[in-house]
Amino acid sequence: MSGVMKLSLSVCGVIIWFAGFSQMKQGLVKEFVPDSTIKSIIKLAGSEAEGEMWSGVVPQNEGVFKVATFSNSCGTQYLKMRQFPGSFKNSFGLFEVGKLDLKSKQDLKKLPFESFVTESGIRLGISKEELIQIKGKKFQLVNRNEAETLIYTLDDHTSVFLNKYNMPSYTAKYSFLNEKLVAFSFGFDSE
Amino acid sequence: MDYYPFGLTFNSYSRENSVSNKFKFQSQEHIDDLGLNWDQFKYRNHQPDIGRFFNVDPLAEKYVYNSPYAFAENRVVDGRELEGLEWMPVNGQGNQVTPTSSEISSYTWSGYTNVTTPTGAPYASSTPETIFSYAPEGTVSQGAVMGTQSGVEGATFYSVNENQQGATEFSALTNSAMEFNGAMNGNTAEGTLTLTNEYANGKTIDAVSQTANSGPWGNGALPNGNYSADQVVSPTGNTGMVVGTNDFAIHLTPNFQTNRGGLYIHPDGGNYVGTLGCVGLTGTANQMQSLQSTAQNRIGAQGSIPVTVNITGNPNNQGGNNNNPTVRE
Repeated sequence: MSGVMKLSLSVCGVIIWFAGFSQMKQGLVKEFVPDSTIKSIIKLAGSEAEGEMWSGVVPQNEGVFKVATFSNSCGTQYLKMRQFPGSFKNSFGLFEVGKLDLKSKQDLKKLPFESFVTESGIRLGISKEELIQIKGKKFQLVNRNEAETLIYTLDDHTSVFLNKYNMPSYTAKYSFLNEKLVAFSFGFDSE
Repeated sequence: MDYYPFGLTFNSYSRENSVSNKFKFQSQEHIDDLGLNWDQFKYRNHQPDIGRFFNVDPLAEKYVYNSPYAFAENRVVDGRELEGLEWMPVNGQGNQVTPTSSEISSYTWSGYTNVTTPTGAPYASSTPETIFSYAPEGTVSQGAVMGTQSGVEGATFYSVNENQQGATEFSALTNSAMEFNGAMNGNTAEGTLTLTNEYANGKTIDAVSQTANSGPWGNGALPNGNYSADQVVSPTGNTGMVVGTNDFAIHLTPNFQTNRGGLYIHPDGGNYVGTLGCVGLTGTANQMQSLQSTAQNRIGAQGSIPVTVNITGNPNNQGGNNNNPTVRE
């Protein structure tokens, strides 16, 4: 075998090894799995009211949106649900969870949950590392003042998740202050 | 070249090494020899810097209400100058709406319509009797310009009368209605949204007409049926309803039973073409602005605007019958 051939084979080998390594590395990057519920009970784009929780609750107008807000059992967190135009009654396309200030506490209906947790375990107070462990590293980072927000977007039109809901895109935002999750939202694009 | 309403220019665009076009404002030759700076109409010369003619109106005695030097009777909002002799109304697209002299001269009068007494019980007469005749208008030059007269909102209609003369008639606006007519293209309905004004004389004008869509996202296209447009929301707080500076949504209340709510007509903004089941406007910014202001005015005047949605092949028909598994109604 000539020297030139040996060199060519070696180069090919390195290229093949590098390609294989890259693929393996890509496989290790965690795919973003979207949440669609709180406690697996309150569902995004659900077609029916979730039973008792709606009793006595009248969603308020906010621009063209209808918005319903609840608090957790101890009144420390809120769950804000945003109904998109064209949706069914009590079907909401975007959920927001955050800390409740003293002023808003009294007006909100309490739900029998200690905290608002998604089906993948996202809840207020977790660290950034915990979040990344659950949701992966495919996020966009936005820094504003002292807060740090991780934004995950799903807009692949072949996505089974998006096709299930017939929606163009899904976005989840997680805001951290002092390394702790202080607010998050997840839901669809309000086209 | 851009123009102020009376023809004074601002901004100038020209290609390098090109010969400039002399026929500019209202297609008239601009004379700038010897610093004259006037537009040469057939019968008179117009000075765009002061918005006046240089010469006296040859028809001044006929138009005694008008200044002999006025350009287009100072009505440059809904008309233009005709040959230096008189004002000529134009529609929103800038097209002439009055009958031309050849249309008038070639107009064939269709005759009179007789209005007769009814016959049989309980009427006394057993044979019809002509009680009066009126002259219906012909079909040529049914032009009109919308506007107000003595504070009344209406339109001036231009036609030809029984004496083969150009005739004008102002008629008050009585009612407005909207229609979205379209057809399914995949899961998206594509068509035209039209706001039509009805006038006291029975005539109608399509005041605003523009392309629009509905669906394919969420529950898909707006169900066929009748609605009432009863409120204009602005701002919407929804980027999916904003195109440029147009940020509004006309709320639709269905006149039938449906589980869907929050139905609107709005600019189709956002990152994706289409809507979650509203009607998305895809026309020009001016058309959207015009629809917003007209709808706002008419809802104020008549309480609500009737809206008809008619989409051929719509899987979301009135009452929620749906045979299309990809559209979740």
